[in-house]
Amino acid sequence: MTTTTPTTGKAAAAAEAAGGGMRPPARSTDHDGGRGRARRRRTWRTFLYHGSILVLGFVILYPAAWMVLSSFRPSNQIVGNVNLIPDNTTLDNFVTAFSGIGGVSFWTFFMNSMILAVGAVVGIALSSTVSAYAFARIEFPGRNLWFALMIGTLLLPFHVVIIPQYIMFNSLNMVDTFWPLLLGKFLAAEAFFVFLMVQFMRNLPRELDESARIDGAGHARIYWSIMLPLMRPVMVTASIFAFIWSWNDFFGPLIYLKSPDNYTMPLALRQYVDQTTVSDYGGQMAMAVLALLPVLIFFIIFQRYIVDGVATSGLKG
Amino acid sequence: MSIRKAAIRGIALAAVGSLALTACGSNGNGGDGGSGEGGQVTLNFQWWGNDDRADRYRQAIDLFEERNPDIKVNTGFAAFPDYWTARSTEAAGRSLPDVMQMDTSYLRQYADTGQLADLNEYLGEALDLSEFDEALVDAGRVDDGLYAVATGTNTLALFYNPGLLDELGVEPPAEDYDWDEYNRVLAAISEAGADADPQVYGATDYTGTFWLFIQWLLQQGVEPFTEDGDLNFTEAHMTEWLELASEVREPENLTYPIQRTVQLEPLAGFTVEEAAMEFHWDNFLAGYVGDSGVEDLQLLPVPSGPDGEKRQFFKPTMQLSVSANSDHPEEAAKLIDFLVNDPEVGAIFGTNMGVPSSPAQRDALDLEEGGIDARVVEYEEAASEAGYVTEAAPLPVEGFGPIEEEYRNLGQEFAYGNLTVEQFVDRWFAEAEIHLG
Repeated sequence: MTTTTPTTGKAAAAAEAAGGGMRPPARSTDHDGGRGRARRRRTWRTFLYHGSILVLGFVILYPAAWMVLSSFRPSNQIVGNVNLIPDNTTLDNFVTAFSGIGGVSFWTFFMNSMILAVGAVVGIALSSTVSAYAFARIEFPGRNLWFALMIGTLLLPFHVVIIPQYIMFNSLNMVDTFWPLLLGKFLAAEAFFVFLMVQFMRNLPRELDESARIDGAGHARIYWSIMLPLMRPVMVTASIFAFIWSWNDFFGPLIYLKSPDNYTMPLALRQYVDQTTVSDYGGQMAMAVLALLPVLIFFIIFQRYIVDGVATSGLKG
Repeated sequence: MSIRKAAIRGIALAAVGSLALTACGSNGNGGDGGSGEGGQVTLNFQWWGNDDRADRYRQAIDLFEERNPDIKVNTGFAAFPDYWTARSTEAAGRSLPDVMQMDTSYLRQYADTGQLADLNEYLGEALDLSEFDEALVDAGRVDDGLYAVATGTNTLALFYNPGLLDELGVEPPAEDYDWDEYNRVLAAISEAGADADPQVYGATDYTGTFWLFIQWLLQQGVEPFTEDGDLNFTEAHMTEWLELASEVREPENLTYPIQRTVQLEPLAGFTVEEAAMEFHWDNFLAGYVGDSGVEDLQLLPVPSGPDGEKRQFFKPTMQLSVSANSDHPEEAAKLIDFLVNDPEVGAIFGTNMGVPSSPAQRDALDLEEGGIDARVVEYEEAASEAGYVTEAAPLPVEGFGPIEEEYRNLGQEFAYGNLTVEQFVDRWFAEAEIHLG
């Protein structure tokens, strides 16, 4: 689920680019040969192109559509049924989902997820830009070494560090609070975002900060007044990914959050299917739909900027 | 421009918000099980299960807190596989919850690494197990220490779908049936159901289930594991067991096709009414009735061994353990005592966690005549009275989880026809050697 939304965005962008690339050769055939044949070939191509996109789109979207429609099915008619249109519809599943689990309301899970996601966005926007600025613009001893080490942390799988990290946060008495999940983000521990921003900043012309320096600005001023405004596209991209990743994260909350009052949506989502007792697939489907909605809305609002952020390589605004 | 302003304003707002939130996070749940003001003790209690069990636990814990105002219980829950991921991380940091739900297949592993507290010293005082069946208490012992208390029991059963058998005109096995008789019924159903739509089979290939193999071993008079956690059976035993179903596999395979089983997961051939019988733990009745919608599923004891004895055992379900790092083991033992003995708790849980271990809780069950709980309890009581249950549950060895999993995987390969019996046995024993050291 983590990757579906971003990839669809990328796929759409790629498809657009591919579509753009297809038109010129079609036009060039206009000059030689009969016009009718060329036009026919062009319509044929367009037809084929759109047809295959539609088929592909259907295949990709089918599971999602199945999930949404299944959430309106009675619980015992979900598994083993591949039809899209439910025979009987019911809202019971949503009633189950909204009634919460074990006395903890749905909105508690929702708010916890929201706090973590917004916290992650804020933390990453603040800390990653500052450290990226340091790596991209300040000459300090061992800069390349530190940069390489930071990139190195990207190669470490999360599962390798989880136990030492847990022991550390446990001795700091931070288990069962949001600290372990947010602290790293406020300390620029998310190397991917720092790397992304360093690469972006390296493309910004140095003349801009040099002229600011001549006008008497220090690092703080250059960072705040020159760099930050120029980094808008990459910050938006980073924020979107930070939000979606944090929202969908399951493993981190599972390890660090102990009391149900602190649980996030993905943890609650898993609670409906339990192989050792009775599984409520309907409740799970409804919960999955509800969990997906915020990410979807967030994505629709900011989708424009994602493509913008990925496409912007030089200067804008 | 306006976007930038809005974004900066948004970030500032969110920053203030998150600071406020982290502040309340730290004073709200900072406690790590230490005693708070007024001598109040806080216990952490973790369990696995679904939303329904969450509700039942909440009622039970509320009742406990009401009776013991000086003890506060923080609970947490997860689904079974996630539960063990979280516990193993905590075990590495020696910060397991004070009280935790335990499963027999993990018991030895956690007990042997010193993660669990020995409950022997609380026996008779904070923890009263005097009414428990002796064999059931022993199921929580590793070496001499008592590390887990069973909240309930289950035992193996043959489920069958009477409506489906009626349609096909096949009689269910009689109660004193043996494995050969079972093969015959299985074959008869598959033959009668070959023309039905959808095609109906007798059952899946039962030799692929590790617990049934253990049951069969007990019937042969072989304890599956030795005292020090080694295998107590040989390749010959396993070969004989796998060959047991050869007459329903050859010349024509009459068992439920594995391809379909895999397709149907997480349902099963039995719950979509394409197979008429299935072995499982008796407390799966609720799940089977829920998934299939068939109300009148019936339970039979397992087939008899060569001497006509069934030698069934009660497997402890949902054990409760106290962690060795708990600051308040005495209160933790008290909580366990309450959960396994209190009649009101028994009424709250029903057979959600198996048939309750203590007679007081069994009597308190509010059984609806012919209801699911009633049928499971009735089945276990009848099996017990008929003298079918004679063995103590074999205590799984350390590494039981992986070897059971390996058996299941090989069983699947075997059902696909990718393995011969010899290859199955060789590969399983090679794997078992690695896991059992």
